[in-house]
Amino acid sequence: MENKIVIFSFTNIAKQIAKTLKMKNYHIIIIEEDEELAQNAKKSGYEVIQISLMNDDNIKSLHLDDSLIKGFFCLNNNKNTNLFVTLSVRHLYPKLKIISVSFASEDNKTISLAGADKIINPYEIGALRIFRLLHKPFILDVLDNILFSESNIEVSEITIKKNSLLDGVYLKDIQLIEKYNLILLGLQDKELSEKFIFYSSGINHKIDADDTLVVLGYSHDLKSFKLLLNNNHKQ
Amino acid sequence: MKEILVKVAYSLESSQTYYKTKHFFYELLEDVNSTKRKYFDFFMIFLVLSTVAILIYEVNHSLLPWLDTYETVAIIIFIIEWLLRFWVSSHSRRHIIEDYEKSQLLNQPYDWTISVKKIIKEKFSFVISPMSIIDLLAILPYYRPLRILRIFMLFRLFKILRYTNSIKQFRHVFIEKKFEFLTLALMFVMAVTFGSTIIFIYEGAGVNPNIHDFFDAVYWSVITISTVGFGDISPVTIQGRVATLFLVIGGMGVIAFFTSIVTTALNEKLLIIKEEKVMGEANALNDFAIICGFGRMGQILAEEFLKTKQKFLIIDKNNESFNHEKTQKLLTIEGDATDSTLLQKVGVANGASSIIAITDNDAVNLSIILAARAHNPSIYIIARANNVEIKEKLYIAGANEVILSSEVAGLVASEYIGQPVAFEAIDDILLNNEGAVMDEIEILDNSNYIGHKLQDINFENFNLTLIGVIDAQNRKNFKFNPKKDQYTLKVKDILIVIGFKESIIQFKIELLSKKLYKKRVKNGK
Repeated sequence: MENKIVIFSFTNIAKQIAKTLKMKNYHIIIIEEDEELAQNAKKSGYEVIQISLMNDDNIKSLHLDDSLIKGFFCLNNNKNTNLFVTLSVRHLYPKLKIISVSFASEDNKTISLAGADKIINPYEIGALRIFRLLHKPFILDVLDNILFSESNIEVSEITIKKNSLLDGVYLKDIQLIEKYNLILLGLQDKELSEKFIFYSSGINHKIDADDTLVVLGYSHDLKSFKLLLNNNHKQ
Repeated sequence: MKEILVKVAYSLESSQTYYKTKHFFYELLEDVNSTKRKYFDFFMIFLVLSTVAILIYEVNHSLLPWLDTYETVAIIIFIIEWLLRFWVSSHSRRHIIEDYEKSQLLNQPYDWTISVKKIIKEKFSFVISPMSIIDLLAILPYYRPLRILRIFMLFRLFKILRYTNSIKQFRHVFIEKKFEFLTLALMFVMAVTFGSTIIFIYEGAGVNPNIHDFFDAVYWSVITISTVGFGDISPVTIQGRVATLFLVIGGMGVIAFFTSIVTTALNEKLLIIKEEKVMGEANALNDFAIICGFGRMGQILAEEFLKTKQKFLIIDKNNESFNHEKTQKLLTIEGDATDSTLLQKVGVANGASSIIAITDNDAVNLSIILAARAHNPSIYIIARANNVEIKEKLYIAGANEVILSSEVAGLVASEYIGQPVAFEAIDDILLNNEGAVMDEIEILDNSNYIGHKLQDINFENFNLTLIGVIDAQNRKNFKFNPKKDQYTLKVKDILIVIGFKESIIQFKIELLSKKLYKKRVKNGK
């Protein structure tokens, strides 16, 4: 069975998200009330459900608690509709991953209050991209290289299991990372906070089970590193 | 005579000191953008006001001797100022040289009278210019036999006009609204003639003891129409009172009309004055960015620019967002960025290094790109596309980079699915949040690490994570995570690091300070 992603509203940003995720082999479900947009989405080859999400029965009919649904995107161009749908979905499905769009930084707070896990502001991202083009063109190149291009450098996250080789090791003591030609960006300790701790913050954190490391490296190095962690355990 | 004239002209032309002195005084007296002028103007305004104050004091006090001296000094300064202005008003020597060279070229004998005539004509036109006449009138009353003309001292107050730029602009108000003012004057004259004739016919012939002649009638009607109404002359007959009623009603109309003309004209002018000021400031800038469109994206961009102290100018059709308190200090122009004359005025061809078209209208963006490219083939153009299909067109129009905000955001958002933690890290870096940032550090030619292996730099100590190095020779060559014991640093290599801002600043200092490094070597570290 394929993993599924539900996208509410087939807007410009939705097209891009759907396209990218489809390439990553997700099954895309578009919720779009507007006839024309729904047709467009169908033509692009996505599964389309043509309903409004302004009432709870319709939302329930989507069965968003399906464990195969990995995320719900709320991408309507209308701020109020977004807030409404985000809140309703969050209320019905407390565990679902919800990503909402925001068009003004001032609105970010309200949208998180409504229950979005993540907020995407296309204007902010676009403006910063322009800024980098002018001032940090090399950074932009490097970032694009790592994040968005087909190059073989990747960002990857590794969740530490109990008794893993890295369980109980201090951040500064990981030699393995260097051996595999990887760069450690940092980690997230779910027990402490949702916030990401950068390696360069200088904190020497002790890694334990359920921490998630974020590493940067060539795909083949990453693969062999993950294999090593999976196959070897502490005695 | 001829030879002397030509010789003097040439020696002046070739003299650096002459040129410098003249330029200095030009800046001091006439150059609008000069900072020296500001101080000079303040000084002169003070001088004018103080001499006028002395004049007022003089009316019912006997003049103190030192005040007399003060007055003399002030007058001398005024005279010197006028002479200097007379000097810098035109370049006489150039006429002589031009005419002389022309005659040489045509192999004709040089007629010096032509040049002298030209010079006299130019200087004369300066002397009779309004400002020069005001200057002269301000000096004149000092001549004792002309003490009667003391009232001309007040002309010095007009001199102040000379020292304030914006007041000059108001003169244009009257020129631009000529038609309205003429209509108004006509109305006024008609009403006054009408009123004074009526009152004179009915009350002039001894009926009203206060009206002796036609001047009294005119005086009365002007006082009435302006709604001042002293009451020293008031009508005594029914006919006169009826005329008064009409005059008063008409008078209100005249005043309302006058006020509205002046206020609207000034309002319009104020905008232009502000715009000219912004353009003046923009022209003084170098290496600045022009942001076209001050929507949400423009505002975020402006904030980033402010943080890095990048100079920029904003053009937007809609001025609503300009009224925001935050934007008051920014250089903003309300106008159409697709207007190519406007772009030229703000310096798209001189001074601006980049132009950013981020309105939410693709057609407008396209038009801005074309207009900017037409004026400046080398300017760096970034444009925003709101639609995928438009992207290609904007490149064709001449944009260097096209941003499709939904595309970038889409790529970022899809990263969140699957790898939320990695996304969090990237998001922090991408959005320049208070967390760690990714930065580029160039190895300058005086750095002490040139020729050293990467392992000689202790990134750990600076809390920096090295991502890779961009090669000095080939900027496209990004070496990801190079082996620290193998890579040797060269001049102009660029290190890409992740770290907190403070660490990066520390590190940059370290790269430059030779002493520190030597000390370290000595200590065996």
